Amino acid sequence: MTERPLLEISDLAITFPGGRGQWPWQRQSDVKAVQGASLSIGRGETLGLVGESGSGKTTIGRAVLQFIQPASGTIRFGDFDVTGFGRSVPAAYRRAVQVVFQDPVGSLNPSMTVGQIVGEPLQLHFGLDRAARQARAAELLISVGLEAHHLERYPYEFSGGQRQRIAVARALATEPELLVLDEPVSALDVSTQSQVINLLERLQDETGAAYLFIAHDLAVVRHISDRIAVMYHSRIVETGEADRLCEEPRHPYTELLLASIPDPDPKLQPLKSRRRRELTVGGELGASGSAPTESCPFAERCPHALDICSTQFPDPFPLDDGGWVRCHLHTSGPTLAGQPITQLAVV
Amino acid sequence: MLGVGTIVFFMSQLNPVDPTAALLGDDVNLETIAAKRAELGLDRPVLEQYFDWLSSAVRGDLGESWFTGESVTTELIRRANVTFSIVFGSLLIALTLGVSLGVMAAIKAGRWQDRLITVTSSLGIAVPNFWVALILAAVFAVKLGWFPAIWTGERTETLGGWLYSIVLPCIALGTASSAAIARQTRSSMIGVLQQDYIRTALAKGLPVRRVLFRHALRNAAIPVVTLVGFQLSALIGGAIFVEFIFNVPGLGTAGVDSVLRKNVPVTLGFVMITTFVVVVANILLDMSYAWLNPKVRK
Repeated sequence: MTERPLLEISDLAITFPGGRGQWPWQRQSDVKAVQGASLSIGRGETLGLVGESGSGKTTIGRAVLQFIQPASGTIRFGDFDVTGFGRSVPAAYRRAVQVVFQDPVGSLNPSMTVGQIVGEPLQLHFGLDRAARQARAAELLISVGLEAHHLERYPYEFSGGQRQRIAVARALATEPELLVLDEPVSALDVSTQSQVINLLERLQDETGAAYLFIAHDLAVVRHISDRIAVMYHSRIVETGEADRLCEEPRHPYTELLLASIPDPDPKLQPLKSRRRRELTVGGELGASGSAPTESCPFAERCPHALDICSTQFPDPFPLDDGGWVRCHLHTSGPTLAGQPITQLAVV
Repeated sequence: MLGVGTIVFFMSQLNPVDPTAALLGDDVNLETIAAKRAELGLDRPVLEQYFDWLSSAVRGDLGESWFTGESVTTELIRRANVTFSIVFGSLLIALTLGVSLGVMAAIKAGRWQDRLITVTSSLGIAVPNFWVALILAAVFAVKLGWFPAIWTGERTETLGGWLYSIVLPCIALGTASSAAIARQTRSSMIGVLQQDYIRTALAKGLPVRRVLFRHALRNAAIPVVTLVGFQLSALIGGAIFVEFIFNVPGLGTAGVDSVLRKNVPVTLGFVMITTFVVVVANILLDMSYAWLNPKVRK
């Protein structure tokens, strides 16, 4: 990772205007969806972005796709300054960055055939004629495990997993360098999930595209990702190599997430549930309300919370695997200094 | 259509007006009345009259007017040209104005442009079309003199002149429908614009205009088309009022007049022609569903 990363997000902040208050002229305070987020993805790499609902992971994905304008911070993609695009996004950028959404029903236009759906970007970006489009679309369909005769069919004739394959074929049509996968498998059955995940891995080997894989399921993310970034309530709290992060989490929230994954071994599962109950402070409910700007958003649910946590959000603490963690426990209190959080007993 | 014809035939038998009295005036003796009834075939049993009418109607002959003796078919088709020009003219206005305003409101959902269009369209639905017709006549015909206030029959030979004569009735009739279509387009467009495939289309790098019209509008059009079907019947009904105000020799005036005077062949012909148009229009609309929504195709 000495070369410059493909996608570089630094100090990104995104706010949404607050809704109306009790009276029409009153406004609620703005919602801080993402604060101080920095991450990078190298060429051909997969970065998993995990967090619970409302943590801001999808918002980061949308900002990369330029559906929303960040309040501050920068996004760089190759030679593009994405945050400086303003209203018109260059076609070359649209070609290089593609997206697969969660809902396989809503993401395919019901009035177009699969051939049109997959072929449209080919016409737009490569100017292929009809015959060439059909041929290329058929190739793409075959590469995602469908068949050429499916080109004439409409989306409603397919199952959820097949639709998601169509969405992937459509995204790959422009030969993107970065694919934003926004919860691409959460709407699918577990058996179908693994098929789609394996497909995505195989396609990455073939095309060399980088993935920004957004999901809430850490088990799925670990399987596909090289590195993982964990988000909690508008903040990225920990990043690092996928296996390291899952084996030796450095942030208490990461540990809680890991403890929530059921273990298939019936002997281990009771231990795991006990650990999860110990770690659960302040109820099972996730973060709600507006994200705090000064304090650590996880402080109220953290079993190890210190006094400093409610007054100051920690700076990143670098870790051996090139990642970092934002938690006071590494510099004050027990002063872990980069040791795994699992060492700490819950008081 | 035959069902409608049958119902109207027997209902018109219940009309207490005696057409012969209206035809012949007050001071006639019973023999003259009986002779006239025999001439018109009214002395025959009702069922025989019915089957007689039915057998000619299916061959396109709707009989002769009891008052003028003219062929109902020719007379009504001449009037139908006028009425349906107005109806389709106003439908055209309603569609173009309604869809474009609806799309605009959907794009600007929640902002002032949307509010303005929503409030205006509420007004448009609330205002009765005969009132709009009166206001239009007062302003554009009487005050400004740009258009004729009443149908004069002049200048209707050329296409331009024809359009010129029907502009005001079309606008008067189309206002409420434009408003209804605008509201429907707005709400279904807002729903479609939130779909992921619209985001996907934008992420592909498609121009916004193409996303709006190719991807969004086609899917948003389905409920709008349903509404157009209902609006068409409403427009034909509304045409009657507007024809009266602009004194247009259309179907509406003929139909109402025939009911008041119990001119049964004309009433029946009026009903048959309007039913025919509504049925044909709805078949066309059903066919457009198949084009818009592939799920309907089988």
